[in-house]
Amino acid sequence: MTVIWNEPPRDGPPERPACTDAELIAGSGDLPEAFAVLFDRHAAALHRYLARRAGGLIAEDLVAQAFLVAFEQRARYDVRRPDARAWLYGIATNLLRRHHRDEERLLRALARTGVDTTSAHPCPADQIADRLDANAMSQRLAAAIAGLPAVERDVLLLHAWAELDLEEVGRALGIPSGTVRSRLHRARKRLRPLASLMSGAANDHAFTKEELRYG
Amino acid sequence: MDDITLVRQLRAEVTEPDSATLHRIRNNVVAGLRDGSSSRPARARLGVRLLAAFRHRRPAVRFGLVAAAVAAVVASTIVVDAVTTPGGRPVVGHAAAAAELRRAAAAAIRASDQPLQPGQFYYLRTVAVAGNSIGGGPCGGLFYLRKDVYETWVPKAWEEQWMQRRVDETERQFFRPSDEARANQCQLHPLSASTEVRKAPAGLFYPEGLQRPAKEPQDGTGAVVYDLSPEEVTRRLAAGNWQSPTPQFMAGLPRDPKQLLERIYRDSKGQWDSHDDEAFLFVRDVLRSGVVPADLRAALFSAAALIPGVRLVSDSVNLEGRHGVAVAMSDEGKTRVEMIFDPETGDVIGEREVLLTPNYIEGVSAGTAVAYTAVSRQVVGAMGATAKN
Repeated sequence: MTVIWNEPPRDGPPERPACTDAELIAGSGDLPEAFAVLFDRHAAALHRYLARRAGGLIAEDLVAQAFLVAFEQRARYDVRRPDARAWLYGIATNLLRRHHRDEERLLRALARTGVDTTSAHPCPADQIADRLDANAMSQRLAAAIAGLPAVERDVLLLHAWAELDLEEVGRALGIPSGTVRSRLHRARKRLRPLASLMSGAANDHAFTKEELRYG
Repeated sequence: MDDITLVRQLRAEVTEPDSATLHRIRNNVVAGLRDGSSSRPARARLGVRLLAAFRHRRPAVRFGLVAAAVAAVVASTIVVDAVTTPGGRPVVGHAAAAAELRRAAAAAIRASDQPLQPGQFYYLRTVAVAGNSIGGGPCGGLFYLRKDVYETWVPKAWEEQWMQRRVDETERQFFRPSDEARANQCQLHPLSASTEVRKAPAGLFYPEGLQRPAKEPQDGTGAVVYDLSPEEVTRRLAAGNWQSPTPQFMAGLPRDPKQLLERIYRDSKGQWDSHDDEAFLFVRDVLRSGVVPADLRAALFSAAALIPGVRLVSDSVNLEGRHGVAVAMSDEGKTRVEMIFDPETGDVIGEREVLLTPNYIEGVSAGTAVAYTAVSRQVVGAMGATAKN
């Protein structure tokens, strides 16, 4: 077991899994090596999802906590579900609720500047105009997402960022998929004016930067 | 452009962690899993880690913080089982709270509401003790509990005339010995000896808005009487809400607990991490009115059972000494708010708020109840009557 404990995660793409998540979880019992395998399978993507929502530092903490909580609750895992992503993202999203202030701060910063202050990326000169448009849109979108009720934001971002389908989002949040649909619908209704504004800018007439920003 | 596509592009530049970061996290997880595979479960370690910043010796404090920290983790019971209230009573988890709430819901449906005969009134009585702190002036900074008594008579037809009798600040209790002396020195206003009586159709005892006329209309007995036109009554009844429920408002609320709770969350639009506290507050707000019909009461109990973080305090007592079961939420670990009810009858009998943090109010220790109510409802034969006749 020490061999597995001390083995660093592989840098390359993981090999085709020999067994499903469900089999790993069911087999973990009191010997949690299987959970390390589950970690190697899902941790990187889970980290990215959490980092997008709350920043890298918090993501680091939450990924670890999510796997520990998952291990603690492994007996409750529905082994008929081969893929554990919905379960893991659900736990992580619940843990994230304690960090809503951080998430809000991040979104508000994005809404103010259109720039993610937590990372710097080079910006080629010929793309500046595009980036300004995209920036204005990011600002408004971030503000709109920051203003969503927590459940709607969870549904939206589990779907759009974690790429869970609606049934999986439902399992992640412990709500029926019909409710997921209606929440997603509500969230999208609030965002739709932005989307049409964006296509309007592209197709109909040129919106000024001011309109995009304040219109 | 599709809105989901737009959302996908937002913060798309965030990448997966580098292998060093991932390795670091993995080591932490593995260390936690190792603990977890031994006799001490991982959750204890995790619980301690989560609570490390707030650790405190008093059990009450631990209860609150644990409840707050755990509220978010669905169905998790980290460390809660072993925790007791300041009185040494065990605090048990969410499942037990939900079971008691469902019992109360069933009881409310079974008992239903005793219907009023023409000429009869519901007599609602609320005794409330609440913390009061003086903001400024020579008495600034004083903190004490004040006791108010409200009595309300509700007629059979909602639009008819109601009556309310209230006595504010009938008693006062200081926590800090120095405060009492200071109160004498700074000449804190005397305890109220007078009773205020108001009469108005549909329980609209006060004019709209915050302003009250300097001279309110009174009848021969000195009661403040607002005569409102039927149009105004209709208009204002249409504007009912969780804090001032009207028949129209209550009729429009879903009876399905899940739908009702969704509505509560939507209307309370909880602030970030107090979302569930806010929902629980709305449930208490509307039940406190004393006018909620049995079927809605039942739905509210069942909805409260679905709020994460609601915990059972196995036995609690209201301001007038009546025992009941209490379910509680901790307000971000600062205070614990309890709704006390009788699961046999489905009646709410009071509320209580207990400080969980020492010096949350300066000089007041953790475990102190800073708000306390007792509510009761009876059927009486006349407006102003206080006992069955």
